[in-house]
Amino acid sequence: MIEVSNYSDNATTKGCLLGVYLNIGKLEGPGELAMLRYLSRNQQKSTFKATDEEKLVEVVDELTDLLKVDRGRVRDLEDEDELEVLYPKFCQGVERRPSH
Amino acid sequence: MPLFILGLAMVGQLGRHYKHCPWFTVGRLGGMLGEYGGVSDRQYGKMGCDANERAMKFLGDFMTESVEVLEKLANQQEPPVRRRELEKIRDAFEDPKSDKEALRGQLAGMVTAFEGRGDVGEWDLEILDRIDQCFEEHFTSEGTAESWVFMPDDDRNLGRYAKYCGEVDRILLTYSDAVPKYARDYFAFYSIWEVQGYAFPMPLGTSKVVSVLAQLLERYQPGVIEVSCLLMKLM
Repeated sequence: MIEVSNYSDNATTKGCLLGVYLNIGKLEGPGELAMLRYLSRNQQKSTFKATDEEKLVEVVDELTDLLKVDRGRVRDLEDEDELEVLYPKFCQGVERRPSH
Repeated sequence: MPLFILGLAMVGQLGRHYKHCPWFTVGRLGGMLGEYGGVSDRQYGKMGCDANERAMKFLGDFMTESVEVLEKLANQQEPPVRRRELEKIRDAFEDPKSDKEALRGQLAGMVTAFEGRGDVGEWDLEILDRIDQCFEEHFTSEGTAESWVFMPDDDRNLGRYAKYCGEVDRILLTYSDAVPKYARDYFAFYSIWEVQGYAFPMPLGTSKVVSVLAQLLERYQPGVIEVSCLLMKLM
C-alpha cells in the first residue's frame, strides 16, 4: 500500500511496504517517481500482482515522465526536428526497453 | 523512431482522460509497445512497411498533434484578435462568395500567436471529458463513428461541426474559472479549420476522437497501405 498526499513534484510521499513505513521524500524527478511506482506494486502476494493493464500504464507513465523532462528544454530548439535531439531522455528510455 | 510511442507518452501527460479510453488496453497497445518499445532500426514510411506500422505512425502523429493543440489553447499570451471577431471570420469562411485571402490576412496575427504554447497540465480532465462527450454526441452513433466523420465537403460533417464548436465554447464559458485564460479565443481560432491546414473540420483530439481514428484506421487499413505506398512512390 502506498499513500500519496499530493501527487506533484513537491509532494511528500509515504509508503508502507512489508510493514515498514518509508518516507521517500520529495518527488523531484523520474528516479523518485520510478521508485514510487516500484513500491506501489505488490510483488509479494501472487493474487495482487500488477495486471497487464497496470503494467502498460506504468510503461507509458515512465516514458511520459522522461518526455516531460525533455519538453522542459525543448523551447530552445525550435528549428530542430530530430526527435533524438528534441527528446534525448525519452529516446534513451525507449531504447532501453527490451525488444520482443 | 517510434512515433507511436511518442504519441502515447504525449497523451500520457493528460492522465486518465486518455488512459480510460477503450483503445488503451493491453489487447490493443501491449503488442505495439512490446514491438515498438525496443525497436530502433525499423523506420516508418519505408516501402514494405506493413499496414499496422503505418496506422500506428498515423495514430501516433495524431496524438502528438492533439496534445500540442491543447498546449496552444492554453497559451497565456493575450490573442491579437478576440473571440467574437474570430467567430465572425469563421462564419465568413463558410460563405462561398467571401474573399478567403482577405480573411486569412485578418488572421495573420493569430497565426503567429497560435505558435505560442501554454502548459497542457492546466486543462481540467473533467472538462476534457465534457468536450469529448460533445464529440461523441455529434459525430458518433452507438459508439461508432458516423460514415461522414473526417470527410471533406460533406454538409452533415460541416453542420455537426458547427454545433460541436458551439457546445465546446459553451463548456469553456461555463467552466471559465477552470480552463486556460484565453482558451475560448484560441479555440475560436482553431475552429477555423481552413486556416489550420486541414481539408475538413477537425474536432479537438480528445480521447474518443483518437478512438474513432483508431477504428477508422482498422476498418480502412488496406486503403491506408495503398495510399501510403502510392505517395511514397511519388516522393
